[in-house]
Amino acid sequence: MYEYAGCLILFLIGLYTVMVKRNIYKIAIGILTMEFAVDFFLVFLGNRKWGTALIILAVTLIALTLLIRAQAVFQSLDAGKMKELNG
Amino acid sequence: MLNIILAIAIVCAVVAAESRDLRYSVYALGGVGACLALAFLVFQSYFFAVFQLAVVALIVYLFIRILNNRGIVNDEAPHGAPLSYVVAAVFALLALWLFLPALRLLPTPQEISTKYAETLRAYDVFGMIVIVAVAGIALLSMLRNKGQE
Amino acid sequence: MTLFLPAFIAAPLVAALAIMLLSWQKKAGAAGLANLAAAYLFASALLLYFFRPFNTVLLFNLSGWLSPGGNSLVLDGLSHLHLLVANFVAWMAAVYSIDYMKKFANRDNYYALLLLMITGINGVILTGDFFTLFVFLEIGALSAYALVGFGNQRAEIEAAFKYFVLGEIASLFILLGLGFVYGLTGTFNMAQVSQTFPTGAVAIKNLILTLFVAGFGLKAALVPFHAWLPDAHTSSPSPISALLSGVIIKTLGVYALVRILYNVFGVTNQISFLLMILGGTTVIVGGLLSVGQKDIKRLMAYSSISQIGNIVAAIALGSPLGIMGGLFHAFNHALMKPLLFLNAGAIDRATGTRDLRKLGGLYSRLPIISAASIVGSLAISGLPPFNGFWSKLFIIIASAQAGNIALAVVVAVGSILTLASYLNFMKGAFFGPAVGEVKEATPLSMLLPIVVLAFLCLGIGLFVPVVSQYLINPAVVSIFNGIGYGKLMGGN
Repeated sequence: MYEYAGCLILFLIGLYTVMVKRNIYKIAIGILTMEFAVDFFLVFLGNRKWGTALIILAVTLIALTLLIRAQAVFQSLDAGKMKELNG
Repeated sequence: MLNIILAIAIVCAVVAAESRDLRYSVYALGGVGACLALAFLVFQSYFFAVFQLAVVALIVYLFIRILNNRGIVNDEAPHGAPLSYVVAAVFALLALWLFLPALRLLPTPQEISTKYAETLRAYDVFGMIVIVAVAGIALLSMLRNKGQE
Repeated sequence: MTLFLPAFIAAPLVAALAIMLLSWQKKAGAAGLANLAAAYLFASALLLYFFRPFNTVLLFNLSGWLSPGGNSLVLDGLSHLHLLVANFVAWMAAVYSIDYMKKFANRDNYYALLLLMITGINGVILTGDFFTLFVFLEIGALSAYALVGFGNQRAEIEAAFKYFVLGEIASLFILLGLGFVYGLTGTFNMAQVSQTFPTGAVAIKNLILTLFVAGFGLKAALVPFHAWLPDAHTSSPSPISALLSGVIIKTLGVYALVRILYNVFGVTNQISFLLMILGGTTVIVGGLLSVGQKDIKRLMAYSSISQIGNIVAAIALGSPLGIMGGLFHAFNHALMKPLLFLNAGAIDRATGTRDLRKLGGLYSRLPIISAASIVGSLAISGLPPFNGFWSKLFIIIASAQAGNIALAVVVAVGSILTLASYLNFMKGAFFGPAVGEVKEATPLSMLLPIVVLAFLCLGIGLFVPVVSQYLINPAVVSIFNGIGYGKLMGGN
């Protein structure tokens, strides 16, 4: 049972990172932490062999693309500054 | 054994979140991924342990390369808004309170390999390759894009 | 004829691959290929209506080396309805894109991503297996993030980033829920799960369902998970906004949630109540926020949120009329909202602005677009004889019948708010003194989908009995069958 609790804690750490941190790279890292946490969970549950390794790769690629463009367009890495659209 | 691996992963995750230097954050994230590969080893899926490690290494490499290219080193705004801390804490406590009892119902990892048949599905692998392809096309569309003409 | 089913996933995938190959060889033809694929998909969805005997289920099993556990594609009343309308709207969007996207670079990538998004949508609709659902959900979501950010400017990138962060968190909640399901039943196959899920574990079942409601609720833009929608639907290219509002939030959000809640788990009273509260709140919040908007597309985006609230609350009522009202409204909205978004795109293209303060008196200068927009606005506000009138009426009557007067009032108030927003839209854009100038005429490929959708809104409103008997009722039956779905599939 403790293994699953560990996965949950890992997931919550990732969620904390996404909710609290303002640097967009940190936010992306937080999302990836959550992905890894769920991956642990699935592996513990059923030896899901590929885990979700490729999905994590895809999410990373999209995240990095968005981060690169965001920095180019906003000149800043602060998520608080990306408030061009309101609401 | 698995508990130890998870404990290391949790420590890495905290480092990734709190580190001022973004490169250490990325390495810590790599640590989390490496722990996952270790977990595969415990389950004796050697090929997938190596595969996982390779994917994690690729991810870390991409991140570091991009950070270096842009000369980004530090997280300039390490502290979020106070309200977000409160919301995150409330959420975490709620989640723990709700989930911990449920976790007891799940079969332990040791039981799993005897209880459930192992399922390796080519169908899913195919789907995941498509996902990576989508990400690739997205990358092409946004990074080689001159925007609106 | 079951061989048709994998084609819905394979065809757009192959077409996307072909487009990327053509692009690599620097040859043209992406737009044509995409339209061909979309037309083929819609045609097969339509033809299947004649091949599939009434109220039966088509099952396509993948077995053998491909999937030892048994993986199936399922076509019943509910999936067929969504398949039909999703592929139709996708085709209209593809036709519209021929001219609309001429102003963007990297068009080949756009068409490839569009086809991949369609693959994801069709996959989610047809799958009978949880992990496959997740895989196709991710395919659809990742292509959606890329398409939202396609314009590559400030607004688009910000919208895409927000959508990405929130959307991925939602996907992860769903995956977490999947993990619990697998841990408790040992299978990912939906039919098997519905049969082997431990019946006594009410607490954990509610927990898993809450995870799914949170995850799919975000994909469907239920309040309080709606924050990503206004930006994403406003900043994306108009055909994509049409697909996002008209199809994605309904397929990847509402359809998936309904399938899991009703057919696999059997909805509990607590979850029904939760959905009704969330739905009702969404109706009011969406309506209130759309009234003051000056940006046409933003107004429509908030209105989408409000309509999703109607759909979810109606289905949560649980009575046959309620479910029928909700599904019918989903069907109608899938036609009305793309009509409105495609019009918004046309107005933007013709005058160079989407701001109501800078527009006026377009009725004389853009007659077709104005007429179609008025049709769409009246339909979505629930005025006869258009289709929206009937679906909203059914929802209100169903709420009253179920004794839920509060919900009936909420839906009625929501309709009034919707009417107010769209009156603003019509007054600001089409009537009054002529403001701004029309820079170019609207090309035919953009006008055709708009006219077709407008006629459909009127036609469906006039022929409600036919539509409801052949299209909506089979879907209601599938939901009502509840867990019987599992026995129908025969397990595997």
